[in-house]
Amino acid sequence: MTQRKAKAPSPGPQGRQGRLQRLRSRIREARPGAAAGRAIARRRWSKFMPIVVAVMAIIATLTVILLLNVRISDGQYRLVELRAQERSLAQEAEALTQDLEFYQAPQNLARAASDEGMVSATSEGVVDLTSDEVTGDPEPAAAGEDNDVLVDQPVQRGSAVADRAAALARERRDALPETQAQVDEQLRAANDAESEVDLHGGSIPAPQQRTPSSATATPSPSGVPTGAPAQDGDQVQDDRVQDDQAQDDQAQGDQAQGEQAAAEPAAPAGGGQ
Amino acid sequence: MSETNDFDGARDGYAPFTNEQVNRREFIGLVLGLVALVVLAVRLVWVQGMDLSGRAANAENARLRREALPALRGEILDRNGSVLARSIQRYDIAVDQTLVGDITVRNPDGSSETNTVLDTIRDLADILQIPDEDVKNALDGDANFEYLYRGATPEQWNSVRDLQLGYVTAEPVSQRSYPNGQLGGSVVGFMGGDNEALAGIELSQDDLLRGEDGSRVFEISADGVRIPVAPHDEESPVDGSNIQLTLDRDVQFYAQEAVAERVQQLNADWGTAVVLRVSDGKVLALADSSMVDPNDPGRTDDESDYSPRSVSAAVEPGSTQKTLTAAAALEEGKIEPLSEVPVPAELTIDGQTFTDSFDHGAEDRTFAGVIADSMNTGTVEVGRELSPEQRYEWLRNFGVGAATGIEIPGESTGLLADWTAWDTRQQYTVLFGQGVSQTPLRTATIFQAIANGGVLVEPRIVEAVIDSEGTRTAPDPAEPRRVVSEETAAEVLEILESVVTVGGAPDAAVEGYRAGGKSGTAESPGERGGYDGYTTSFVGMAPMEDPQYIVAVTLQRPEGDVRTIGASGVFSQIMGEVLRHYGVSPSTTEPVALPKFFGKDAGRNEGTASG
Repeated sequence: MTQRKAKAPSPGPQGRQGRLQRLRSRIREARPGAAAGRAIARRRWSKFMPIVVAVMAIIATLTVILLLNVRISDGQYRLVELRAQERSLAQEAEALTQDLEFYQAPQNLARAASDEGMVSATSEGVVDLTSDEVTGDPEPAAAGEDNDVLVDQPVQRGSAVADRAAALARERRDALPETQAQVDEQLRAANDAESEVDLHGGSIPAPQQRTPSSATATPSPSGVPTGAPAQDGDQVQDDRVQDDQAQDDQAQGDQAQGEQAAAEPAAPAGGGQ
Repeated sequence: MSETNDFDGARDGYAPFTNEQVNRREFIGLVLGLVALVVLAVRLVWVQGMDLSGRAANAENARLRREALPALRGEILDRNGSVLARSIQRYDIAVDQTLVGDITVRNPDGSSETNTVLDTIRDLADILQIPDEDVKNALDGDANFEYLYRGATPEQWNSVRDLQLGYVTAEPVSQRSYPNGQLGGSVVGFMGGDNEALAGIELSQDDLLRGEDGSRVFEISADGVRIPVAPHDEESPVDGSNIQLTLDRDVQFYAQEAVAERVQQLNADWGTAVVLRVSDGKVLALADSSMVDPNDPGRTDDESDYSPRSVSAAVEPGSTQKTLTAAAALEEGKIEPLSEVPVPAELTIDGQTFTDSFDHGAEDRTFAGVIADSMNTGTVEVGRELSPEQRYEWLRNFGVGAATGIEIPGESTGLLADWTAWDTRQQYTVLFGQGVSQTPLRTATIFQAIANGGVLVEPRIVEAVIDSEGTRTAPDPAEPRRVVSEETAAEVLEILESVVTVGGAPDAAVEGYRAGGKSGTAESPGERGGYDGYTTSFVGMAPMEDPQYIVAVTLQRPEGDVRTIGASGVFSQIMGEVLRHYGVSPSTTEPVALPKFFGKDAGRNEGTASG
């Protein structure tokens, strides 16, 4: 284009100037660095300057707008992402709170305590700091029966803890004797076992060593009392799976097992087969 | 630069046109351009300004999303801030049955697998823990919307979402969770399927708990992301207030456990225990032997588990009402605690014969002795000094026949017929709590008035309302009302303590503390008229030197000999736990034991309690 235009000169001032410029540029190319050439270049610059600036400004503006847009929508995506994260964390916290509160419910606490072999104190003393007096006549709580907690566990859907507890409660209920004959049988077995217990001259059996939870999952006075006689030999009347467990426990500690056998029969109808 | 330059150039070059030609072309071009512009402008005004086909509005509607912002329902707390009810997030999962089909799932690594509908049914059933059959039924049909499962946990919904089933959607819903279940269940109440409060505090405080829903309007882009710069409008929801109860869940547990145990022992219909604080009538426990588990109200067999029986059930109080009669007679100056009341073996007035629960000859009793051994004969003898109208007025004074106004729906007022309607026998039986019925809570408030120096404060169970900003407001307390003088109240207290120390209820003694109270045995009206079975009760307070708590135990239709079906043992159990729980120091003063006899029987005083 430029070349064609150069070959077709027009008489107008623009055309003339154009030709002149081209001519000058050729001259400048031929003699680069000349003062005249620089002057011309400057003038040309000053002519294009506003356009270039305008274009640059537009480009800059567009770039800024583009970046801003990208940032904003980026932020929007991030917001959505964080919202999702917040929601999932909130849900996790909610589930954990549900588990925690299930454990905290008094009836569950009482069950857990009684599973640990705890009994509630029936008397307590009071130390009065103002009068330096101790009142009340507290006595150690007697080893309790296997107390059933009568307030049912809360139904909590969506709490793994509650599901486990419900399963355990079902297991426990199924383990209860169904007929009077079974009750009598268990009572007799427990009494038999008790008569074998060495009370070391006292009247109260020694404190009980807790069995591992695998053995207590179904509370098992029927399994445990036979433990001690089992080692003595032929007192055992039946071979149940739990006897094996009891014996395993025994292998871990002779003395502990003897104590355990002594304490368990306190709850004759508490569970077992 | 002249305007002709370009044309000059054109002419000079390879487009030789005349000036005239150029002007004409210029004109035509200009006109064409203008026409195009006008057309565009008209169209623009047409589309944007007039918008006859509603395009802009449609487009905006397509972008606009209106979202309800549900207010979070308030929590219900016990007096120590333990949560009794809270809202949790659940999902209602629905299916579009028309879209059900085999699904091709694309794994992240690019591979894909196809799951048949049968696979999907099995997966869904496993995740939701419901039978395959139920899932199949929910998926089968032509409905665009059918609930598959309501109230799924977030975990379940996440698993379902991972199956990438295009036809399954879920909508987040808020569900109530009651971490303590049966414990205080009917006091807290429960909600129905449509978030409608149905019972208990949930119902009575619904307006406060509910809050106000808000809404949000915003625009979304085609990919579902919110357009950040578009205008939006948001009205924030106002979350519901938390309701703090006066209930103490530990005390509630002791009470519920003790009552349930006794009910099981005696094979009773039901039992209930009320624990009140004497000074302000605040309710610490309303315990029934069986209460609804609000997490799953449908499980309950007995519908009367839905509200606490101490509030909703009216029973004949029996001899506990002798406390009221004694207070009235003392206040009216008809008698003194140690006044001599010769008691015949049986008393006949107006052709009506009254006997006692134990056989005795004619005895020289003090008034304290009459109450201590719960003698109907002596009570009628003293009570007849009051005119029937006075008896009625005193019952009214103590609130019998009126509701307490406790914040629990469905309170029974009991039945107190006007004295003019009393028959010959009823005018005397009301003196020992027969022929009148009231709730166990009302009976407890009668003892509260006596223990509180004669000032009755109606029981309340809402401790405070805590709004969403954390501002705590206590509801207006019930107006304390003096019923009897302080002296009368003190005298009645001594008589009540004698009931435990030398009277008919030694089982009610609380180790380490001085306790007082009154037992009651009333015949309970049967369902088919007449009387069958008994209602036994014991209401009392401790420690007697400064009574702080009231425990009222009622057992309905316990089975067994009438002498062995009492509630005093349960009272002792609960009261002991309550006193120890709140760290009340054991009594150091000597218990009061008023003489029960005088004259010829005076030798039988001290320890030789009969009956």
